[in-house]
Amino acid sequence: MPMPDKNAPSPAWIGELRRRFTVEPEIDRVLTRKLERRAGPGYVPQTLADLMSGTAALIRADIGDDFSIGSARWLTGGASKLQVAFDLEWHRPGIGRETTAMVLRMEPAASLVESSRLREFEIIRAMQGVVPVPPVFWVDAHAAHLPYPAIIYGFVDGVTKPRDATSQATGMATVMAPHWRAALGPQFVLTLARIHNATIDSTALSAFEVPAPGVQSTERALDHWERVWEEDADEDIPLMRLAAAWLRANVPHCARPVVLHGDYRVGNFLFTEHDAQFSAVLDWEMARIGDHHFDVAWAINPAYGHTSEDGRTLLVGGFMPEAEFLERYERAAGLPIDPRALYYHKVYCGWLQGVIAIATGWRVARNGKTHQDALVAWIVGIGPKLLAELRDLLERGM
Amino acid sequence: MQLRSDLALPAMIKSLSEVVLPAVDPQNQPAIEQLQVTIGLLNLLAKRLPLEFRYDRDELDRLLGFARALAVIDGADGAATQALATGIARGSDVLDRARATPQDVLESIRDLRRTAGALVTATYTAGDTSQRHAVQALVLAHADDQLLRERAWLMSQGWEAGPLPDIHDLL
Repeated sequence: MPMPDKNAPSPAWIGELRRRFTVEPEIDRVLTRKLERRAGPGYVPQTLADLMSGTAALIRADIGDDFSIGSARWLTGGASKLQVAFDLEWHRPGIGRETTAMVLRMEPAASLVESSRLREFEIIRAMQGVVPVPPVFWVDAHAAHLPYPAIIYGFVDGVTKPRDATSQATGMATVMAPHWRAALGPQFVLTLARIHNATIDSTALSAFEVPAPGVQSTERALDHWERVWEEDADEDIPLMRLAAAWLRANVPHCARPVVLHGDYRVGNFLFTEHDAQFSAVLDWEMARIGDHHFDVAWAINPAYGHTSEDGRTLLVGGFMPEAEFLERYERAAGLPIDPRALYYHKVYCGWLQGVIAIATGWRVARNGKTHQDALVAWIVGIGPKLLAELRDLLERGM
Repeated sequence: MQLRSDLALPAMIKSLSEVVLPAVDPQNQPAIEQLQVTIGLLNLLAKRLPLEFRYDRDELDRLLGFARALAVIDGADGAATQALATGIARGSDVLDRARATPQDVLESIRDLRRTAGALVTATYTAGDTSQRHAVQALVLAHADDQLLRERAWLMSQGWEAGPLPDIHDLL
């Protein structure tokens, strides 16, 4: 069988993938767009002036000319999207004249996680009042005003890690000092529980599919990420094939699909240091509606935690042992943890991490598609460690 | 192994050229000059690294021809002639064993990864329980060996919590 040229995908191959994998319509749109643009130019460096010009065009299309933009500056953090902070002087509905600190969050030409700004906009808006999230104002879902799709949301004070913590440039491997654990750990559990108990408003979440109870949500997610593997992977990995086949053969029943954050971990929420309170949950780009065990398994993944001072006990997110996390979660969420479903989603999370780090990381860096290719290439290096953990999970079994 | 020089070098060049260089203080000419030279050297490496093995093999081939021609003249003392003959024999043996290129090796690896992966998927689709278990055991055993090497190769990146064997001892 001839190998497809993944760096210049043919329409026939794109069509074959779309037929082979059943994904949510909005996911299909962004993945198809990614493939159709892959042979095109890499990421074109943007100046702050250009981005603010596009931002102004987006705002002007909604509220006219009565505003001004200033103090634009780059933000760091994350390995997937560009972020620029700026001040907007405007007449804010319901409040009046004010200067609002804002953030432009824009895709590069292709991302470590190819996702929908429309979905991100809708889910953050839906989470207002449920958990701390930034206010969202505008979305440029199809890059009508900016070079690439983007959203604009309010700037929220806070940090992703305490100043006395250590971590990698990717935000992973953050080590929480003991005095932060008691303050932040319970909020980490409670916030996840609240997300999972949010009301699902299918009108407000128009870019999301609400799956039926059963296996549909997990099968859709498998189709999504297996499609990404096919689209992006360079060299094949038998272990990834084994994991995918095992996941297909063992999909658990989901009694009640819930809102999932999709990337719930340290580094994806802000807190204010002076009172140790969560101020915003960020990075909702992988949000979907599905089995709560997924978010739980993602949160307790060893890659996002570290061991305690005894050198043996793994602390979930750097906060608490897994058993304590699960007990607190069940109590707060009122959702049971089924050990078999949790094990399944641990395997699923390990496989998904492999897809993102190894397949997509390699492809977007290879094609020069991001604003930080060196960082993305660096992240590819975590692949073998993630795969080793996946291998051990599969060998260990339940 | 995916984090290879053909991925890392262009990514570094792009980041240095498009992000770092425009941000360097234009008054700091020594820094700009050093950065431009660094980018130039990285560009040279990115272009020539894939050819290094062919270059060396080509040189060895032509050196053997040169050495054989020298040996025919036979004007030197016995020790020098003997040393050259030994060198020719050793070089010929190495050249014989170096017919496959690194690209050949890599393509074979990729082909076997692909065909083995397809067999794993097919077994899970069509095989019985015992066949699935057998395939799983083999995949896990192979991954154990291979991933140890890949992790040791990347040790300096700092992903690993504990020590691993030195890559020199694993190859």
